[in-house]
Amino acid sequence: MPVTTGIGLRAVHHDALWEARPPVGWLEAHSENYFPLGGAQPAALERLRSIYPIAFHGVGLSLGATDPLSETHLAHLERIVQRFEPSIVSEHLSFGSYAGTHYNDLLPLPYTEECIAHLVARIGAVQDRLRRRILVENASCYLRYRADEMSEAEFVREIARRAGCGILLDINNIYVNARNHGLDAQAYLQALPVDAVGEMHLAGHTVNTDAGREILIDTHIGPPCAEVLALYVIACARFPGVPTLFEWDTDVPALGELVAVAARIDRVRTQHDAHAR
Amino acid sequence: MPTLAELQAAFARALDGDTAGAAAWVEEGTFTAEERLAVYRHNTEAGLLSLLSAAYPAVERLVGSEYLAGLVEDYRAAHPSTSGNLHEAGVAFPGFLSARLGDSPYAFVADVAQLEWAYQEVLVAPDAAVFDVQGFAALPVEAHDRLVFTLAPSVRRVASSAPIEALWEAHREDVAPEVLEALDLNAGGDCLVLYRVGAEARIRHLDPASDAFVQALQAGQPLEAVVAALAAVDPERDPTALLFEFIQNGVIDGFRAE
Repeated sequence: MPVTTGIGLRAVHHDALWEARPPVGWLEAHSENYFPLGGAQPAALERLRSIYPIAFHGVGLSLGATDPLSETHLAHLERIVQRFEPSIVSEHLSFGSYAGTHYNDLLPLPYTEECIAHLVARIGAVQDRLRRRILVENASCYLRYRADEMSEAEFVREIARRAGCGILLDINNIYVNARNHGLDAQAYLQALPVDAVGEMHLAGHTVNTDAGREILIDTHIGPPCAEVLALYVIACARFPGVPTLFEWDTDVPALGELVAVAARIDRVRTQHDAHAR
Repeated sequence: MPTLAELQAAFARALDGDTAGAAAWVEEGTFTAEERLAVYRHNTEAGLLSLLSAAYPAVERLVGSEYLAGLVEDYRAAHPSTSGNLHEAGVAFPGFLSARLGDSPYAFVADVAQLEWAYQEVLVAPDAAVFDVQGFAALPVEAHDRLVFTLAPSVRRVASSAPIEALWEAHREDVAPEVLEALDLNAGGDCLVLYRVGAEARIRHLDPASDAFVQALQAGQPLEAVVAALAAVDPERDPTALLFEFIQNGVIDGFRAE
């Protein structure tokens, strides 16, 4: 994957990307959107991968669930990885199902040794099935558990170390969690090993207020705010040579706006990424 | 402290409204545990509403956005998603609407939903095979009766006592009020076969005879039985013309010996 800034691939932009071929570094597709066996979506991805490197980013594998890994889901993922040969495959450090019911959301995990051991085994099974290393993303969360035994950064670090996977470092999620739970975002970055981060995500969030209280929600609307960009600058210096993906998934704008924001982010990246200078 | 499984079980119950178990294990602070859990419950329902709105735009226009939103909680309770692929969460919605609206004057809305879901399935189905024209031409005529003709993976049949295609077309996007006023719910029903050509979904109306033909094909009947089903409805109908039409438009994409 080139060390540059990519954008999230949305179906509404398929034709414009093919026709205009804007200068974005790469495209990240939600894996589940390309599970269909036929039709316009996979055909579009076949065309687009001939001109852009692609990554697959899944939201439905439910890595942290105590339910068995879904054979159906894994089979689909294996098939599309073989067909489309993405440069990166990633999922989330979360769970999304229990007792066979899926909630189609990224539900929070406790930062415990039991959970680490569980995730390490699951990630290992997925990497063995896909015959490749995957990246796991730190998720935004709106609650913490009394059962937490360690910090989020330590949790993520230990999973990556023991599972032999990489980290998809979502800078916006670190910021959201820092504001929501009082964690030290810069210390978080320092706690992660340099060579474990394989990709970074940047996105916008929404600040909801209620009777003077605020909670940040990871809505993926709009460009990253100044504070998230400031954290990203620190991350670029700490984790050089890492591609960045800009996510804008809600109220998706025209392709041109998406490309323009990605270009601004890439200028920030090249300014602060030691490998870019 | 709870095990991981105990914690996830409690969280699942919280998403269904019973927060007592999970709340005891959640750190509070600026927001209560119930408020924090409510964020996830809202996310789950909002995600499902977004999916239903995208998959059933005509239904949403027919019933209104507020009514659709009001269905989400009951739909989720009656038909919990069994897939991590959000796109599949809407598969049971036509049946849910049928159960809810079946005895009312609005039962046709469930049929429109069925058409909308079938349309989505057509768009993402596996590609059709290429009909082996030479292989078929090489067969002796006496072998035809025992052939089973296979339908392309995208083929779907949808039937209703209401004019669902006109209703669907009128409500897929915002249209002029006079278009809606011209709709006649008593104009008779529709029997439709949907299929994909290239990347486009096509819809063909089926009269009773051609519907019997298609249903026999769908049942995997040999040609002899398919022709008999057609003749039972319309003895004068030419089965060869229908067969070749469906081969030419890709509804039929292969054959095999019975």
